[in-house]
Amino acid sequence: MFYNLKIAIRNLRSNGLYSIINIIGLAVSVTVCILIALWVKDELSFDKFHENEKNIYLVGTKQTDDIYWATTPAPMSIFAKAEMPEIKDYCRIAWYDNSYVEYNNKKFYGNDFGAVDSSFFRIFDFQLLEGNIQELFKDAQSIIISETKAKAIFGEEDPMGKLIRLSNDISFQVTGIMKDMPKNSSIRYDMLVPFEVLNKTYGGNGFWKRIDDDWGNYSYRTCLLLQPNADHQSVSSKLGEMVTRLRQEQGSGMRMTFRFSLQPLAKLHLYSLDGKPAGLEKVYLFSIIAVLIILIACINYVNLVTARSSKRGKEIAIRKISGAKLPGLFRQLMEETALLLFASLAITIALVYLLLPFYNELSGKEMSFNIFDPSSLLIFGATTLCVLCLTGIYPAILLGSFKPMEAFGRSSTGKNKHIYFRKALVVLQFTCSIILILGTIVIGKQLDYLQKKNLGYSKENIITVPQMKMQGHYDAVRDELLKNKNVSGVSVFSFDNMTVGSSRMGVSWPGKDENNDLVFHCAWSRFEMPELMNIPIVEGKLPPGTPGENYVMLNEEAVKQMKLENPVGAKISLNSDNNYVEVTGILKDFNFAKLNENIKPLIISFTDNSWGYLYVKTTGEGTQSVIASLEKLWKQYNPDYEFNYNFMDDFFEKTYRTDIQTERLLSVFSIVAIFISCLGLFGLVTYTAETKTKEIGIRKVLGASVSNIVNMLSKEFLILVGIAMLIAFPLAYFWLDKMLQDYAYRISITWPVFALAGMITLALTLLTVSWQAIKAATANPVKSIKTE
Amino acid sequence: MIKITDLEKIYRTEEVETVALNKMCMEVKEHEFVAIMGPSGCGKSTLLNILGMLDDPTSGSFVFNGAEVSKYNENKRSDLRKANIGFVFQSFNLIDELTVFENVELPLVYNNIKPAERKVMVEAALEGVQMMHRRNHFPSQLSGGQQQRVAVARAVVNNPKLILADEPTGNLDSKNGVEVMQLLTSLNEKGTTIIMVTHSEHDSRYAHRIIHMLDGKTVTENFLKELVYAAQ
Repeated sequence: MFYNLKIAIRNLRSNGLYSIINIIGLAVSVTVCILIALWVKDELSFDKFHENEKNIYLVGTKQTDDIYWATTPAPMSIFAKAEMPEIKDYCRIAWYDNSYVEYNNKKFYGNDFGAVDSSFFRIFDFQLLEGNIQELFKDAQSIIISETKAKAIFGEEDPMGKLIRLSNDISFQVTGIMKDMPKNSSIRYDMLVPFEVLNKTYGGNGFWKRIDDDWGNYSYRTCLLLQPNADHQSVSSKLGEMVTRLRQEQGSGMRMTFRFSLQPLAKLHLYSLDGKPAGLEKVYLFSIIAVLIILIACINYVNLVTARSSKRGKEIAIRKISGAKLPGLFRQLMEETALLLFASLAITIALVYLLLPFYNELSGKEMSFNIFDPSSLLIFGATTLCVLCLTGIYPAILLGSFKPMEAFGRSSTGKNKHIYFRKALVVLQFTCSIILILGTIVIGKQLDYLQKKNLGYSKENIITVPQMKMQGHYDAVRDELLKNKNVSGVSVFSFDNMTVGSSRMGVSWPGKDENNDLVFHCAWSRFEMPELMNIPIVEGKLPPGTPGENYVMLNEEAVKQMKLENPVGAKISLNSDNNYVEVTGILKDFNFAKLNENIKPLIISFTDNSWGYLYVKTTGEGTQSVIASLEKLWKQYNPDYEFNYNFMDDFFEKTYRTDIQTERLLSVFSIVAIFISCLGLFGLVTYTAETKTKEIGIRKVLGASVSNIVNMLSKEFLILVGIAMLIAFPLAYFWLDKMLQDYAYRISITWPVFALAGMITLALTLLTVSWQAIKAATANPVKSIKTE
Repeated sequence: MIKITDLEKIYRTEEVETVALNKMCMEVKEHEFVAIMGPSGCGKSTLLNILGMLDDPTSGSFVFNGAEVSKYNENKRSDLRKANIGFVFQSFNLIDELTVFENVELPLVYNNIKPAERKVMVEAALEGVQMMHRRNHFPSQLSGGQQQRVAVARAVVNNPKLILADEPTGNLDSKNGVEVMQLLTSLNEKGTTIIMVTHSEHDSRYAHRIIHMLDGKTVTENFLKELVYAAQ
């Protein structure tokens, strides 16, 4: 063992350059592989820590075949549990709108409040550190807070039993402390209050008297814990039948059929509600990239070892003649590979620790790596073992199988029959690299296209802030803002960033086909909006008079899908009741969703008292003074809330964050892939130049110029890269075209993209090859010829 | 054709300075066949490399066809070499991956001669050394004598004015050696100047004149004889 080790170290040292190439290549690729594995592990671990994980389902409301809501009405689960034995338990979860927590006259902002049923801790495995699970919510004024928040608010005091005031003026008593919800949980809150708290908005003159009766508000997530072995498909259809029946019994007058879907909690993170594996595709993509990068580095090793096998051949032959047996030789060669691998793994560990902070920033995650942690160790060990097998076995078998006399012959003629295998591996390497480069270019171009795409409105110089309690004081707010000479316009739109997050079915209009269950997106606004956002009115005009509930505007797509011949002046009913509103005008289509989707039908209402966001357009100058004006107004109307504003120009970054992250990661990975490929190429060309020293000498004596020689040495590799391009281009086209199909608005992949990728690859190849080639070509031929 | 005066070539390493050529003077006229003889390490090969413009002298003058070439740069020397000089080596120096035809063709390729023309010239050269029938073989498929004949064909294919031969028969048996020497002689008779480094007394008899070298200088034959006599 030590004998072999000694020989192995000596071999690594004497082949300095090749050892360094291999060590760097393997270290970098294993590092990338481990970083990707951490990412994949994190993605796959989402919501898997619940003991009941397999039996927890999230109920989605199926609007149409392709529109799902992740929310349901609140009463549904109460009735469902009473009716269906398959349902063991349920928990409703809602976001609780609250700004801050006050304790000892200090305000703490930036909390996520969840309103949940008391079954929460029975169904989910969120850990309770203090408090009695049986009576967590003994009344509606109980609150459970996370460990971190407890520390922040109470410091060293014991939080249990303490009273804290929430911004909406209710005092809550701390009845439990929970461990911070894990980062890989789709359900994450800092504080939990009882679901009944939401009842406070009911009562009085509203149609619905209690939240548990309100079938009209689809704002609540419903999680069901099913009995083991229960069929979730049948539960979802039973839910649909139940709600349809109940709604008819209630005499709502709607002949609507309700449909629901049950999505396993474990699939929540990686699948969208319609069952598309959107997140999983990225997991696959990155896993494949990890494998490809490892493969590229392993190919480097195999190529360099086999290329240089003729040099080793003599040693092996002498060992055989001296009585070495195949298993022993095999072990020796494997140990050599292992030694090299361990050297690179030492670098890998350092690199992973070093790069992890940057990687977390790049990927927007908080992953950690601890080599002594079992799962990290597993990732690390598995990767190492794979690499050892990939790199060690083939060269060991090849070298071990040399026949002694043949090996002697081999070293003298320098011929090598494995040259085609090696060339094929180089082609494979570059095929992978080129595909990754193309991927980076195309995704980058697509994002660029999305960013520059005309959305149908102008988002420049627009600042948005939530109205909160400015609602109902619009005219005063607007007039105050317009006093600032840098404000050129003000309006209100129901959602931030011109998105529309609300939709409705059951709209009827004259001539509507009974089977048409068109879903409309709905937004609320003020009259100034079309002008402020530069959205042209293509037909008709704004509603007359003051904003009221009697008029709406449609977008062109709505008119098209409704098949309205004279849309302006048409009377439509939003709720299939007898309250008709009049369409006064048609707005030109604009994009109000991610560009993955086409423009959908839209109804815009104009109400006097609409909630939503204040849109302020500046002249492009004095932005700070506009923000100061806004802040002053904010303090006047919303003294209890943090002032947050948003530039619409930043919208792109936020909306396409995951796409941007994917693009960034992909570009890093393709740089790594091409770097490792070039490293291998560098090794190969060095070796070629070494073996061809004499030939180069002869050619030079016969009149070859330096450029002749450089051409000769580079041509071979350029041809290989050329072949790799021919293979990579169609594969990349196929892959990227499929990926772009996720976008309703997409670029087409045209030849300049391929030309660019080709040029980048060729340039890098030339750069890699030429250094060694020039070195070989300028060597003194007199010395070269003497080399025997 | 060639005139060298006070030519010096000094190899320096960190520790030693080796004088390979020590103020050497020599002249070779056109159509001459000159043999250079001397013991190992006397500077024969260094001289041949400088004459072949594969190496540059440390100092001194080297006039080739009336032009001072000792200060020429790599490119100019390469051009001059391509056009005027053919080489024959002891170890043949054929390229294993190329056929006989392609090996001979090589100097023409680097002289930018058109393929059709090249074919004619290569075939003529191969005819000259009687290797036409082996034109599609690889060097490893030939005997040593045959390989050297191919090397000679390659040396003469672009009709150089000067052939530099470095122990052309060193790796050959006597029969093959004679064949190669006859080949060189006939080339010389057709007008090619030949400078040949050799250890073989027999081969040197083919030359018009013999230059003896010792310790980087030319010496007379008598001087050598005296040396030998003194040693005895």
